[in-house]
Amino acid sequence: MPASKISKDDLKRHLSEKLTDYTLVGPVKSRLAYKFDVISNVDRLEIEYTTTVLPPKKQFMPTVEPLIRFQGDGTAQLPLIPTDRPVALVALHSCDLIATDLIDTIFATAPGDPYYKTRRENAVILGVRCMEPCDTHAFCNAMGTLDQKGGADIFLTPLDHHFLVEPLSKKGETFLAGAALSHSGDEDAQAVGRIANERDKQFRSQEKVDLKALSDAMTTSRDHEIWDELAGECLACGTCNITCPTCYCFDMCDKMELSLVDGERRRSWDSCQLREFAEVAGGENFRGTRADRQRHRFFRKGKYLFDRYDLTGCVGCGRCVRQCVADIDPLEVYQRLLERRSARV
Amino acid sequence: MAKPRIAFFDFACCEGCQLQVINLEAELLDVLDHVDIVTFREAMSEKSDDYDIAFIEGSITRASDIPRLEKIRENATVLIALGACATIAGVNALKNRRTPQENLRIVYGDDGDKFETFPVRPIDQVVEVDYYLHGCPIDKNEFLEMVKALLMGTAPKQWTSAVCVECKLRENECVYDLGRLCMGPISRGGCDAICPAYGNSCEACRGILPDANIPSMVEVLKAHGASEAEIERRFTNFTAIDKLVQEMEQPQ
Repeated sequence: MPASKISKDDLKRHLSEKLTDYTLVGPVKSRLAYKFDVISNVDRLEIEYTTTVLPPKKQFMPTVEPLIRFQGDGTAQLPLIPTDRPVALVALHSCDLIATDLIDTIFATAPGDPYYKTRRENAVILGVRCMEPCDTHAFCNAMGTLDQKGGADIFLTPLDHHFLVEPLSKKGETFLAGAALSHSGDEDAQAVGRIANERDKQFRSQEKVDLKALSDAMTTSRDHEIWDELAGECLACGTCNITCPTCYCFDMCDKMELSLVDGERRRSWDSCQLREFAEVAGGENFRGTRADRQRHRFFRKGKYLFDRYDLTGCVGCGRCVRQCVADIDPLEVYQRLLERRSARV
Repeated sequence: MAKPRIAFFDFACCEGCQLQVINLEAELLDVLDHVDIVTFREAMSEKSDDYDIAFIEGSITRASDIPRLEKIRENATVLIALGACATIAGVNALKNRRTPQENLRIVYGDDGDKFETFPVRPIDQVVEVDYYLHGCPIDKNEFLEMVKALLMGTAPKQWTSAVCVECKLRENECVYDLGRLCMGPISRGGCDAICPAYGNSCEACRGILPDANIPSMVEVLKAHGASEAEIERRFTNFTAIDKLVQEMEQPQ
């Protein structure tokens, strides 16, 4: 497909027209923070934004959702997930696109999670290229996710007055039908290259994390002193997990009605940094200390998912470090682990 | 099967937590399908010493409270601490910053010697408590969940996660980003982060989590400009200091 572009006004107009057929979800600003929300007026949409508090994953896996409803007479029903209107999830950064790929691998690959799959298949995703670091904490460049298009159906690149537009799937093409696209020439591609060069220098670290080396380093880092150091700082507040686009652990509980026989089973986002997470009947806790829990967090990001799926479990979005009041920084952790490894070799 | 008999009692408190129970207007009649309320000073005149479940609001502030509470413990099969005054001493804990004699003088002046008082304590420093309903005030829906669990014979949820969990789930901007101090990272949740959701600091009204990383929290507060005195105030607004020390001494 030849390269095309759309003026910023025309894109807004197109999105506005799409409100007839699609439920639009995108970043909006509330006081200081951005969050993904349903948009009924395109003027609220902030296509160029710093990263949201929660990742867009919540669109496919709500923070709390009913899994089954049951009654005292032994009957039960699955909740109806409406799919009569497709959802257009707008303006995902590359980090969140790659995170969506990862969650798809786990929840949408056979046999898959029907709740997640239903919502995911009902959505068209518009990604947007970051033309500057979204904030000082981001390290997507170091994790190799910057400029990646991942699970996007359409990928937009913002320039001064227009967006370059790349449809990446049938869904994307359908969404773009009728949009005022025009031909984009070499000069646009060159402009993107120039801006990207300048952008890359602004990230806090210029070095790429070697994902294979990181996984290997973790293999021999079970007793690394860093886990006790992190335990000294960590407040076990759960923020890092809750805001992470690649965390997907959940808890399940039954919410009963006052009849005491009718109710629903719900799942809700959980965090492995919380004391109760690995606690089992009888009070035994498999990760009873903060050091155990921090190690688990980073092993899962850097090792378990990489070893199993060849995917990085950390996309460098920077949400966790931005929101950690104790300033625990994953990039520093990876660098420390890799340092010791290179010192040994 | 006979309905379980429920009784409410109060010690030093504002009775606001019992008011939260009464505020369950839409559900109260359905609750009464399952239980008999036999003592509830705030809502009815009748009284009885024959009950299965006792909800205790308020903290223990004088020697004569102790035998009364011990008697309730003896009568009840299940005893539940209702609200911050009962669970962690609540705002009553403020008085522990002074000696009992000073408190008597400030409040009653020359008549101080006519009253009894001692350092305030939560009820679990006097009798064994089976379950806790935290908060100032309690969340009425959490009370309802507690009652349902007791009726079904399942373990009531006892929150062990920090306020930050629910705060982030609501996508609030961090109170620290608003330029204020907040105890949320180490304070017991279950409140749906209601204070930060309206731009206010968490004051730890549900208590400091038993395995909280207190040294690191102190560092965070200092890094955000809190003085030593300010830090002590933050930790002890709602929590009697000896309760805090007792919790800190639990294995990490």
